[in-house]
Parts: sequence; structure tokens; C-alpha cells
Amino acid sequence: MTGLDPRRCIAVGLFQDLGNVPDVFVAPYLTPVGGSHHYVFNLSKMFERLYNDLNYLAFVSDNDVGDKSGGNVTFSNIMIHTQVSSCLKDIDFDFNLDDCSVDNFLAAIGNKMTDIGCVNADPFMEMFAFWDATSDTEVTNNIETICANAYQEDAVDFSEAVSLEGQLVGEFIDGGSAYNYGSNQAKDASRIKYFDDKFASSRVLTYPDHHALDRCDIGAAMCCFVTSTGASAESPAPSNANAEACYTDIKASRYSAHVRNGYSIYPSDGVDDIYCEGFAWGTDKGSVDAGLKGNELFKVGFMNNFYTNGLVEQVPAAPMCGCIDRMPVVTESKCMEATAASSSVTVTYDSTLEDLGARVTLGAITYSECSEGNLLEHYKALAAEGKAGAEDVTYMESRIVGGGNCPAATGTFLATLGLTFA
Amino acid sequence: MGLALPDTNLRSSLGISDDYISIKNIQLQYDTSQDTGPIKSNLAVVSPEHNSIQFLGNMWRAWELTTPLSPSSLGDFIVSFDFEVAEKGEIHGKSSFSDPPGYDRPHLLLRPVQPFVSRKIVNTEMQMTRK
Repeated sequence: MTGLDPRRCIAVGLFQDLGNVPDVFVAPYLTPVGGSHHYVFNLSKMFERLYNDLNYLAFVSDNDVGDKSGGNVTFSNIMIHTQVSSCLKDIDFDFNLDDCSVDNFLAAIGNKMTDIGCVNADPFMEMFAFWDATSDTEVTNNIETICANAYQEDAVDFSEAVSLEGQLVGEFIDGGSAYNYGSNQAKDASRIKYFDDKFASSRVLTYPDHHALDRCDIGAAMCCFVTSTGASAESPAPSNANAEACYTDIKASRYSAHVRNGYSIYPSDGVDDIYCEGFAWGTDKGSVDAGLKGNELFKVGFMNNFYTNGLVEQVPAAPMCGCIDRMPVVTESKCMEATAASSSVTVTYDSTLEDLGARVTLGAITYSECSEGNLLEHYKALAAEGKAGAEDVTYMESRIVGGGNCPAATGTFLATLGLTFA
Repeated sequence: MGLALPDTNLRSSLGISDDYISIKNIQLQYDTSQDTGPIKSNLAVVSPEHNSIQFLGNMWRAWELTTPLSPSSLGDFIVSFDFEVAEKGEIHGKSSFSDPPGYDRPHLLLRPVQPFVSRKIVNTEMQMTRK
């Protein structure tokens, strides 16, 4: 046995820092509390010691805290797949989708399998075999990448186009730059209007590569402004203020704050004094909702609220725009939605080249306030459509807490630090 | 455990075929330190449909396959399952292994434990699907 990788256990739910533990595979996706996930693992490719007969199937639910009663997990629909081979690998095919989501993609694969008469009826396992995958995340990641690349193929990068200074957009997202503090914003920001007129309704806009916006796993982002260019020093709040800031966890926004750790707590007086507006696309990185998130950011952060309404400056120690986890916890957020109703995605496979790709035919992009009225309700609607999980909704509820709920939210946060909110 | 189809069918070149593996719900315990009381009063719960196992609290359980599976001769050996977390513990995972529980502990256990003790508890069947 010496010299072989000893690992024969896969952790799929992990809520403890294991440190450097060599005897456990950690699954690429770990199920969060309140969540569920369909796992597929090719143990032949994972376990070096999988050569003897298997005599046992084992499950571990480890919890040594307190009386050991914590933990409630369920494993179900356990299946073993052998001699898996792809039915579509040697056949050219194509299909059209309104939205290149993973679910839609797999449904179309399923239809192709039915048309061809494949023995296997499971499109997920078909694609698992098609890519000779090791784990389920390879399948979903590949589909999301194919779809996301299609949307990005002809995208326009507004962060480069609105200024000759390449760092301006990034600095603005962090709450700085001439946009926030310049003396002639109409002049400084003139390219925003030009870009909006020329591209915002006809092209996919690139979502900036920025520390406040990356790894946005929950699929929701928000901008919060604390004042406007026309506001007085005595009354700095935006005239359309719609939210109170509860607290900022600086550790989450440390790259914007340039401070490694800490927190800011704001007294709750029931008076809205900041303006927050967000957008959401859910957890499928290949969906049209995800494809248009750069457009939504441009409208919310740059065109509508900054250029048109003159809103500026971030909540201290937070970015002005960022993924929900890097933004302050607030009471409310308005919501913007971009749609491209007549768009379609064509997925094509060339079996000779073994090339599976997609291209987008983009229809007109339109922007509107979310029909649900605010960001949280919009996110719940996405979850109801299967575009986010219940655990994601719970998280969003902890970030946009509703009027009057700041003290409770702040108290919960401080409790994680061993502190009591008095 | 009884295989619904002969093993040779599982190796069919047709690709994937369905059948079921039924496993007697005889829960094997890894070591006494993982349980706060007698294992018979702290069993993982098999659903009435026989297709899910619920773990409440700290549980380390193995089920013996009456007929061993031979990954090397079966070709691909891929497992799939659904997993749901209602309340978090510390670590939740799945394993398949050849040796008796406790024999090769470092591969399954994360900290020093007492010697393995196994007990036969009930006879309810649990079903897995093999494709």
C-alpha cells in the first residue's frame, strides 16, 4: 500500500477547518446549510487504491461538538454507474436555446438522446461520459463556460472604453476616482453617456474584473451611494435615499477598504440616508441573466445613478458597487433588470473536431425596474424559478434585512465575534 | 445484499442498464467514541421508500455489501447521490472501501479512535440503484 494515495473518503459537507488532512478528498462543491446537491464522482479516477473488491459502503456525519447531537444530513438516490460511454460523442448535433442555462442545456441534450435512441436516458450522465469527467462540477462548469463564452464573444468592455485611464472604473467601483471627487463630472464622465447611447441596448457589456465583483457565487450585486453631487454638507444624503446601512464587515471588503479586518456599525434611527440599488442573476453562470450582469452594473453604477442622478461616494470601508457579500448590510435595495427577450443561443457539436461550442444571436436589450419591487423579492423570484437555492435566499435575507431590522442584524453579526450589541 | 441482475449484465457493452442493489440495513459502527449511547437507539434513518439515509448527530456508519463489487473488472466505477444539509455538523462524507471498518482507519477516520465494534441491529432493506 505504501506510495499509493490513501484517500477513499469524499467530504461533501464541510463546516470545520480540516487543515492539511491528507486522507479526505474535499468535493469541488460543498453543500451549504439548507442546501442540496447532486453529486457524481468517478471513483476509478479518484481513488488510487480502488483495485480490491469493495465490501462496504460507508457514510460519515461527524460532529463532536457538545453532546454530539448536532447535524442533520440526508444521502439519497445512491447509484453506481459502470461501463459509462457517451452516446453523442461521435455524432454531429446542434440545438437552439432561449437561455443557455445548465438546465436548458441538459434538457436539449436529453431531447437529442431521445431522437437518436440512446440507451442511457440521463443527460447529465451523458455529458459526464462525453467529457470523461471526474466529478459533477466538471459537467456544470463546462456547460456554464460554453454558454458564458457565447455571451462574451462579442461583448464590449466599458471599463476600458469610458476613459483613457484604465484604472478609473476600478477606482470608481471602490468609491474613488475623478467620478466621485472630480470638480467637473459632466466632462469627466462624458464617455459614459456616449457608451450608453452606442452600446447599452445592442451589445453585451463585459463585467469588470474587479475584486469587489469577482467570485460572486450567490449571483447578486449592489451599489450603495451615500451622497450626491448637489447635496449640501448639512444634508448630504441623496434625495432619493431608500435605505439605512446597518454594518460593514471590513474583512469582506478589505481590498476596497485597504484595511485587513474590522467592522463599522451604524446607529439605527429609522431614517433612510443612503441609496442602494442592485441586480441579480442567480447561480447559473451561463444563463442570459448572468450574461447581462455587466449591462446591469453599467446602468446601475454608472449611467443611471452616477451620470444621470449624480449619486456618488461609497459607504466607508465598502466598495460602492460589489457582490452582496462585500457590501454593507442594509435595510433595502431597489432593483434593476436587463432582458434580451428575442435572443437565442445555438449550441453546435462537430464530432470530427470534438468541438462543442455556442454562439449568441442577441436581440435588443431592455432595462427596467424589477417587477418584484426590490432586490430581495427579485432574488426570491429567481430562486422560485430554480435559479438560486433556498440557502441563497436565506443569505440574501441576512444582507438586505428590511426596515427596522438593523439592530437584530447587527446583533447577530457581533455575536459571531463574541460581542453583544447593547 | 442481493443483485437483481447477474453480474455479467452489469458489464454489458450496451452501456448503462438499470438494476437495484438491496442492502440489509445492518449498520456497522466504527468505534464507540463516535456515539453517545447504544447504537440501536441512535440509528441512521432509512426512508420508507428505501432510497435515502438520514444522519442525525454524530454518526459513522458502514453497510456491508453481501456481494462485493469489483471496480477493476466493472470498468468505470462512478457513484452518484443527492445530499442535503438541514443542519450542519462538522464533516459529512461518503466512502467505499475494502477492509473491515476500523482495519484501515486513517482512510476513513480523522482522529484517533478506539477499536472498531460492529453490531447487527435491524433487517430493514435499503435500496441503491445501479446503472
